[in-house]
Amino acid sequence: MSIQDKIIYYKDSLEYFDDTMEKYKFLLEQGKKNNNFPEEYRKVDFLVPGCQAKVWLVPKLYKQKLNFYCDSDAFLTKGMIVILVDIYGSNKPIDILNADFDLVKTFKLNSLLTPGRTNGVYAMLKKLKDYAEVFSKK
Amino acid sequence: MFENIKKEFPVFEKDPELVFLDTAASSLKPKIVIDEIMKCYSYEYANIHRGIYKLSSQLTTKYEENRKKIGKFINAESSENIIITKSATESINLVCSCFCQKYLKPGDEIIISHLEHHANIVPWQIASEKYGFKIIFVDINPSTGSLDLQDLKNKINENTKFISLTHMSNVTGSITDTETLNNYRKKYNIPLLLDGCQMVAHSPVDVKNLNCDFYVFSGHKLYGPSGIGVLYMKDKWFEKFEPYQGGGSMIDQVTTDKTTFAKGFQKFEAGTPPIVQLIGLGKSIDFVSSLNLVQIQKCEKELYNYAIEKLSKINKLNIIGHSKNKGGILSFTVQDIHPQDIALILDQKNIALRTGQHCAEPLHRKLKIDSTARASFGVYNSKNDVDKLHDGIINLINFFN
Repeated sequence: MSIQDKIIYYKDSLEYFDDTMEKYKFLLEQGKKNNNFPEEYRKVDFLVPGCQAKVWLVPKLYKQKLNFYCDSDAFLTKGMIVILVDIYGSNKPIDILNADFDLVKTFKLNSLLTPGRTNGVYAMLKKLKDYAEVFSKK
Repeated sequence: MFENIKKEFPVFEKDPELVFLDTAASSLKPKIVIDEIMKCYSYEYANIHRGIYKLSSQLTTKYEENRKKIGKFINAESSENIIITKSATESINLVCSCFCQKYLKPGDEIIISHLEHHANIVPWQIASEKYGFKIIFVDINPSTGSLDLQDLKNKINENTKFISLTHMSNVTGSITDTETLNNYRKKYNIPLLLDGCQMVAHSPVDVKNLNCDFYVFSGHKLYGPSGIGVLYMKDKWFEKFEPYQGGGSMIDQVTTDKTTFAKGFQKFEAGTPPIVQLIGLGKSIDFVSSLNLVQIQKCEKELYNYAIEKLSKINKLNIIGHSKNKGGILSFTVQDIHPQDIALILDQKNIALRTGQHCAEPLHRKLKIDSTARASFGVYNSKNDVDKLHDGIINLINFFN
């Protein structure tokens, strides 16, 4: 699936649930899929600045494609970063850079999360984009 | 509890099921305060102090009557001891700036504690960089979440030039034992500032009895407007301190060569003051006084005890701070669940509480906790609110499991 296809998949998935608690349950389940964060990367250097909960994001380039390890100490935040990594990860840095990053609006996160949490999503998106930028020059 | 009190707060007309447990951050506003502000802006407003015309002189009189009201509220020697600021933070900055500039040099020490809100840490750190004095942090007792008085005693010495402490912690709710504190500081005659932001809305405060040099609080935690703070200052400091800010109102005469300053509180109130905010604060003082602060303290203590009894039965819940003498603030963590997840899920049940570090990062670091959830009580809370909080926490534990 392309980045855009995945964005549409998650948009549809979140819109499928009317109830906010069901949406949260969906986020929770996405987070549970992610159990492979290498402990040696649980360092301050890999924390995403600007998130109220701790979010670790570690880039790894393999065969010219950029992927990420990720984790968070909060369940719902973890679900969010796992979704973002699934959307943007395993793509060439240049393709990530050219993708849609306006997901707060696309996913209607303002009605799902508090402003503090939404700021955290902006911070995660910015970090993903920053990594893509760095690796696009390598 | 106060019967029918929610009727006094318009927000509950709009949202009768709201469980508001974030009074320590800012209290909800009663109708009489909102009405007073509306009335003042609508029919009474003009700039104060030097207007000859009726609107200005009438509002000046009303403004100064409210200064008197504040003085009586905290039992100050006189309303002349009350300086109006824009916030408690500004009140602390004023004292810090004026005191450090005149009295502190390298080798001197000031004492604060690990319990402090950032507003009582950062100004001292900025001043310390400038004047070279040392900031000494008093330890806390980690199990009670209260000030370690023995540590305070040990840290006071001939180099200690100032003590600035919270009167009630905004995280653990512990109330500072000022009697013991006063005994410790009298040997060296060390000036004392008490940060009363959490205290004033929940208990009677008597600055003469507290024998502090400075007492600060804000309006917005006292059911009043934001944008207004109070600084009580003992007489002797008015002459000793240089002005904090320059501008209109704080002058005696201004020439192109030099300025002479007004005396008393005016010297520290540069510019147009927060006029309507003070009028609103006066009404909020009427509000809490009509309920009686002794009664408020009793009710909130009862509610706190009820909450402790209920919440401590929840297996995975850990209450932060068990001081014997504390106000209606209950911080907690739930094992394996991040406080932000707690707040988001409780918000779905219309329960408003705060999570994070509550502007007290050093305290959280000391307690080795990243963040906490905090339920704090006001006059509008009832046992029913506590029951909803209890059920909400049980539900969220089940949800994440």
